[in-house]
Amino acid sequence: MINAPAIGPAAVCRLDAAIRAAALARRAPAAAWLGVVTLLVAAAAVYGASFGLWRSPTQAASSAVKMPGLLLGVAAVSALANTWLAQSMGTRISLAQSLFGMLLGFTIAAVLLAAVSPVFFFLALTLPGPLTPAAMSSYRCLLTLHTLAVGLAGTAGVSRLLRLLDLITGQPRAALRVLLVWLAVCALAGSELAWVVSPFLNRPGEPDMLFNPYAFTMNMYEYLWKLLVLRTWS
Amino acid sequence: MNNSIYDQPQPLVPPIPARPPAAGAESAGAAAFARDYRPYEAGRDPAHLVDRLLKRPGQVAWEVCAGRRERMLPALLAVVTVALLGYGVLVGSFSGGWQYVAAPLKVLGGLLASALICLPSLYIFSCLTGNRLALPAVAALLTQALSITGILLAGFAPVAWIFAQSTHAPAFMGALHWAFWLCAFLLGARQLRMALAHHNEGRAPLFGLWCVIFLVVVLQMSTALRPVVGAFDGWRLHDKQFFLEHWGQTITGHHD
Repeated sequence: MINAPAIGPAAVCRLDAAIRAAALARRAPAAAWLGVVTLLVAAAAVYGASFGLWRSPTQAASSAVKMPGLLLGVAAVSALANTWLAQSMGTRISLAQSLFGMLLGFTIAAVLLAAVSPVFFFLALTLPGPLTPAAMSSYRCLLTLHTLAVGLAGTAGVSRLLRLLDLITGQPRAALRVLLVWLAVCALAGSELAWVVSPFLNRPGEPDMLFNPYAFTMNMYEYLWKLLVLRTWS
Repeated sequence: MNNSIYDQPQPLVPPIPARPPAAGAESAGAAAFARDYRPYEAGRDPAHLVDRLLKRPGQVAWEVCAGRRERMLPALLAVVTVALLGYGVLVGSFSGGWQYVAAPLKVLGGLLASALICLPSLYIFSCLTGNRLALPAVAALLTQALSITGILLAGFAPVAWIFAQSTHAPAFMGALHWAFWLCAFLLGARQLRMALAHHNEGRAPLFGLWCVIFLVVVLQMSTALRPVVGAFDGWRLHDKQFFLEHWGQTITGHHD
């Protein structure tokens, strides 16, 4: 009998037998879904709060709500495309399996980020605040560290997801191809969703915005085009 | 009950594909650690514990992971406290006065707070690489590493004292203390890495990254609690500052 059915941070990071069993099943049990989603929401909320705390408690609360929403949104939006793309590449992954797999990958990344969030809470409390003359250097430092943390946690989540795909498909090369396609789809959907729910951390000197005023007037790529190309040429 | 997935026999779940061990992972130190990984032998006095921490850390690791952790942990905490308070008095002797009290408290409190801040990441990183140690065991191993760091710092104390008698530059003394602390920490961290690897087929791949995070936290903590080396100027915390900026100002002598 499997004696570790609890879906806690350690079990998810290790991909314990109960988690692997749930991922391999055509349809994971409801308890497994609930456990993974709860852990994802809790871990992402903790990290989100540490992301926004430097700016203000309001921004911390806002980011704590947005971060889990972003991850769940990306998984939900990409699930159908990812399943059909994986099936067209010769695997027999079901919609439930692909959604559960993506949620597991995101949960591992979120747990890692939550594990380093005490460091970010500490930095938010000890770096010069947003109303001080050194605010811009603090902002850049924090943003750089958060980018590094998200990149590393994302890489760890993806590498665990690859192992899970190895198990589900039984074909390492196909698993790698599926993973690359999933990454592309999630990156596309994630960048746009992140644009819609931004900002997670307002720049110093800007008003305290909880929502992106351009969220529904242009998409992220249009914004980047205007910011980088048109402004440079003019 | 409808949680039938957990009632399936375990062999039905394929294991995670194993990766080949890293080349050169079986170092002489790791082999010695593995040889010593057994119950702690007789002799409970502090001197014996210090001796075991330095010469046979595997025995202490066995006690905190599989043996009588509830007895070993207070002893390790006592070693950390005494060693760091002692080194803190030496640090405070550079400026004298209230720094004899403030510096030891800052050295001990700062290091323990940094360890607490970084404990969750150490635990999750070790889980991510397949380690099955529980959080209390990881916390106890971290305490063991801090004990070794503290003992080595206490060993450096006479050397630091000699330098402190011949200079009035806080920047130089600060750099010297950091160099000693870094040496001591790297040796303590080596034992921690071996203990974690011992429980995970010789692997602890994310440990280097965790060390970088811990170093950054300790450096920022020392900036938040400044001055640790210079003259005492009250118990209140100074303005918030990033440690690199503080170092720049200390080296150039341009303070706000």
